[in-house]
Amino acid sequence: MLEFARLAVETVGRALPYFSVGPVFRGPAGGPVDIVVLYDGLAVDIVHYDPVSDSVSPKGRPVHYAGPVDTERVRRTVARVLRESVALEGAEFREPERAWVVPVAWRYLIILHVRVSWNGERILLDPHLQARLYRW
Amino acid sequence: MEKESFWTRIYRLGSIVGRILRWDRLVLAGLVVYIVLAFLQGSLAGPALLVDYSAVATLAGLIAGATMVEASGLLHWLATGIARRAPRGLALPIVLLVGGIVSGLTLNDAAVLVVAPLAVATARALGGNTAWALVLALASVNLGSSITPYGNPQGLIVYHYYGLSWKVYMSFSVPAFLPPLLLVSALGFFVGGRGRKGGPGVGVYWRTAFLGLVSIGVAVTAGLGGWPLVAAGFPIFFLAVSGLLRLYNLRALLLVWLAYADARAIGSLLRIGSPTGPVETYLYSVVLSLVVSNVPSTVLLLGSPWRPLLLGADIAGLVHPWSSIANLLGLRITGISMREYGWRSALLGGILVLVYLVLSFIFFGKT
Repeated sequence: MLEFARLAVETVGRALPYFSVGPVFRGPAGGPVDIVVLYDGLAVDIVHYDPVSDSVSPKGRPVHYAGPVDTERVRRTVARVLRESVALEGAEFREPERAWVVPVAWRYLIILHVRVSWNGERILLDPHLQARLYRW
Repeated sequence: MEKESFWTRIYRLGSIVGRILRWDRLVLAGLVVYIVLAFLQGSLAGPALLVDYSAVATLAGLIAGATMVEASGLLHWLATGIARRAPRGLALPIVLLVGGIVSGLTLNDAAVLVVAPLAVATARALGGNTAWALVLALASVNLGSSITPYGNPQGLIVYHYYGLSWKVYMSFSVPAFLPPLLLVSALGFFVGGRGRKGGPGVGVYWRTAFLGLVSIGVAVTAGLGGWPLVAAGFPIFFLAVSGLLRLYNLRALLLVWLAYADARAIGSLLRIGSPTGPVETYLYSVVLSLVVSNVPSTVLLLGSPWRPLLLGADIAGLVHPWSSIANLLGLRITGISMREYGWRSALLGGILVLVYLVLSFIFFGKT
């Protein structure tokens, strides 16, 4: 178990340089501004964006914003943040999905949760996000 | 991902219909056509009564199965595996050729739900053109499914109506449809991309993938066996059990239902004689397939020479989403926009229609 968790953290660390930014989602009625993070075309997770500070917001704090948003600026900011992010040295196991979840942090903020297969070797997609990405 | 609030979920549920009507021009167009046809038939339920609900139930089950396969990451795993292992530039051609062959061995509607997203995922993984990948994938599925009598509904109809044997059918279908299938696969070399990426591989939710593949099998088998409730019910049940019911692509199903209703209604309103000349039959078949899609046009032209009838219906099926239900499914399931897909499919399909028109004069013109 410990070995799989260690592998999962290592896998996310190796995958991080290949993460890219996907489309920007706006919530209903000027809700949160979120951007999809992709790996090999898979939707991995979303990052919350704070239009007021032009920075990212940590998990658990989506920023509701009613004004217009420059999507290119959002993508550039989040791309820069991804380059500076690191995989934290710890993983939780989610039994229903049989997957490890490794947090990714930028400075002191956890911004992503990346799913990894039970043996710690492969990155897994977020099925609901993936469907949202290519259907709507 | 954080859980959405209850009210956000209600809003999202309520906005689905609005989104379909606002953003899905194909569905909106289909609805407008339905209303016009219902008016012409003098009954709001008129077109709806013409739908083959057994086929729609099978498709409902196939969509559920395909949803699970897609959600499991299996297709991305396959796509990136092929992309990393295949010789440079050959990943997409391999997917297209194998996809075309597979679609000849199973229903084209089932094949498209796997081949189309796989081809798009392969192109995406290699930095290729995803719109062209979809066009070529749909073409390969349509062409491959034309090679055997059981690959698509129009082939099945012709095979049974004219009392053909496999030998007679395939002595025509193989030379007619295999060359363009090979050509379409080869075109994948130019659009599939060659980018290579490092990093760890992608994983699969194997339980979900297994349920998805079983669901597709159940839908096809039960559909062919005449058990529509089983064809739809079991896959949707598996989808619910997997916790993925929210991902069910209702828009794709609605689009298919509208396509059936509208095409059949248009077909029932048209009064056309059966052409007897082979080139004339080919032209009728092409034009009708472009208007009412290839399966209803085949039914309308039964009695005419079968070779040009089949050729026209199958080749016209490549031209635009409306000309084949499989195209509609592929378009909706991959999320490629109509704008990106439309002109590319019209270009490829249009060229093939003209090439085969010339060939029809050369080969059929002699009879």
